[in-house]
Amino acid sequence: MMCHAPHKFFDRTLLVASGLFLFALAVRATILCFEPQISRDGMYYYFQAIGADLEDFPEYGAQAPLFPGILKAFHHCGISPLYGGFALNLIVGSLIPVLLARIVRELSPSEFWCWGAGMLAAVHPNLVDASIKLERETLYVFFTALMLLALVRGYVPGRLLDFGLAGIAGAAAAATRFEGWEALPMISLLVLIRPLVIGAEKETRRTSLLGAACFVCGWFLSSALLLAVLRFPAARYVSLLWSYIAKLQRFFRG
Amino acid sequence: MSWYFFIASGFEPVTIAAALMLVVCLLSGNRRLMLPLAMLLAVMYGWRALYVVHSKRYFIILVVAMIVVIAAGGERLEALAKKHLPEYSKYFIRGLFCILTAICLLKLVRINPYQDFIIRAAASVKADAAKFSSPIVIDCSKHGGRAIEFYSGVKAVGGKYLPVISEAEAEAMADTASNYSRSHDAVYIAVLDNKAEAPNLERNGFVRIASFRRTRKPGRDLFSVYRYQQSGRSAVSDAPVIEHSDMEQCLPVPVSAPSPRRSNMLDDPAIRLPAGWVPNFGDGFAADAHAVLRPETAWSGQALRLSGKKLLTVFCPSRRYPASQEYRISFRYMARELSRIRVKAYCYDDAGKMRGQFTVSTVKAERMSAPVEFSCRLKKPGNVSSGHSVLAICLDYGDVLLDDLTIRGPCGGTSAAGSGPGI
Repeated sequence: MMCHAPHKFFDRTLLVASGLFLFALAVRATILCFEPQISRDGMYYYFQAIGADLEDFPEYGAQAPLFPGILKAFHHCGISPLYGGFALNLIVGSLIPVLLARIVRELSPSEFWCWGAGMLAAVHPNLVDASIKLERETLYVFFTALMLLALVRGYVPGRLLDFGLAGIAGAAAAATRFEGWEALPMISLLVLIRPLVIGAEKETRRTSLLGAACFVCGWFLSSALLLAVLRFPAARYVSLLWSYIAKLQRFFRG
Repeated sequence: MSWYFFIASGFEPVTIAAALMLVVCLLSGNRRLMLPLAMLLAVMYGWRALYVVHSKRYFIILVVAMIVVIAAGGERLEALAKKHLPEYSKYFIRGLFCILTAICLLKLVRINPYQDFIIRAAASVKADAAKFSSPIVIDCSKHGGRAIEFYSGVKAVGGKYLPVISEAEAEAMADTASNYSRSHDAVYIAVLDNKAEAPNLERNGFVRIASFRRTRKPGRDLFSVYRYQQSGRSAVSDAPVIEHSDMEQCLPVPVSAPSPRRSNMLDDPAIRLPAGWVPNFGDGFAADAHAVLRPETAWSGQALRLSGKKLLTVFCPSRRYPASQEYRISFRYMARELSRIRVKAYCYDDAGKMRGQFTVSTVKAERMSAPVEFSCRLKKPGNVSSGHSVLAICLDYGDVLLDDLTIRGPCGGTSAAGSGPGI
């Protein structure tokens, strides 16, 4: 006769992670109550989402499409882009400490430093400030943290699925801010030098190559899917990305 | 300057702690993934400090790297302490980390009583503007205008930012506000000022609506909104029943007319408008827009050419039509590219004060090779029985030629348009 262990309804880690999320959310919501004023960038996104005239924002160039696209989607669904955007940033911003705690947990055996890192992220003034504004940074940090989490999960054991997931999250980060594209060569490089970091066995080299391929494929597939969902013309996205690269080139040439 | 934002991005105590922990990681020979990953992030996102970045927001991703480094360094330090120091020393390291977290929390616990100054100013504008039908805010404060529009619902436009509001600057502001008051019945101006500068504005016809401190710092610490007090306009003659302009008579644009926006057009003495017609800077007259009266090959004589990618309005303030009657407006037009023009009416009361504006008709036209006739009816505003209307033609975008502008009225009159004095 088989004897089942009693079902553990609340996993301790899940419980602490939920507590961390709620604490971060409470901190952000409280600060938002004290500082409700929408920033200039936030107004730009709001007016862009509702399709208003943007003549008064001459200094705003073309921007990565994900965040404005989400706000537009809110508007089309009858949700105010303002409140929808704030809610999105509050929730996503409160998830960042949990993600950071998880990243440190993957890298360190110490529970104190894992949850400590989460707490530090929960009350970090700049992360909190970004979460209570209608701006892209919180979403960008969230997707980047998600990419790093997938990367650290798969890095040592060489799990190809995790490398692919890292690519998907990285593409979402790049669709939020074009700076995210810098992660594509850098993380690919980090995956390729994996044998140097964890040991140069033949199997490791092969897995690293495959891992880098999965990362890049996940990235491009996710980019294509995001553009399709957002109905953003691929040619325009490439042209915007190209102007960003041209800006970098101008900088490096002095 | 960028380096300041680089350091401030992580909040200074956290940045310093991360730098110390990075040294610990390097000295202790931590070759695990955590260190290469954190360093990669630092290189990837930190190089922007080499060029001018005006906000710590651009470095915010570094916070992720900093927290990972602090956790890695803390753990390494603990391991080192375990080897060489008594067991309880690890609690000292953890205590320091808790103090760092507490500092971050304390940094958050701040109430900025000035944070909502724009919301409060906008509430004042909203309450005051409720009395008017077409108010407008000119933002001379660099950052407040769009926010005021957002919170109050009153349209805002950008104005020139003034570092100091001297008497001369206040006069220039009054001229700007006066231009806007041709097409808006209430003109507000948002400025950053201090108590010493306020009298300059008040002497030039501005009344303070709201004033809020925006920072604890001394200096230009007030965010103020003033309403321009329109002085009464001189009476003008009633409009004749039939007006016709074949655009053959023209006058130079008054070069001295003050413009709230840059306009190269004013520097060109050859530019002409029909007699009595002037550009309306208050309703939109962008730098790249042109209103030119000149011979056109497509026309038998002169035609008024309106072109530009932004709003451009010309109107004839000297001809006023009694608001209690209806008129028929017609003209010939030819679009050189996809264009949109609007025929508008500005409404004034008997005292000559602006009471609102409305669009009479909108014309959308694609490129065409021959002119076409257009006509529309200027109906009297529903609740208006007195006062005057003034006709304005507004180009939203495009390139259009206009001629034979004729106004007949009262509507139903049988008089044919004839060649009259240029309007």
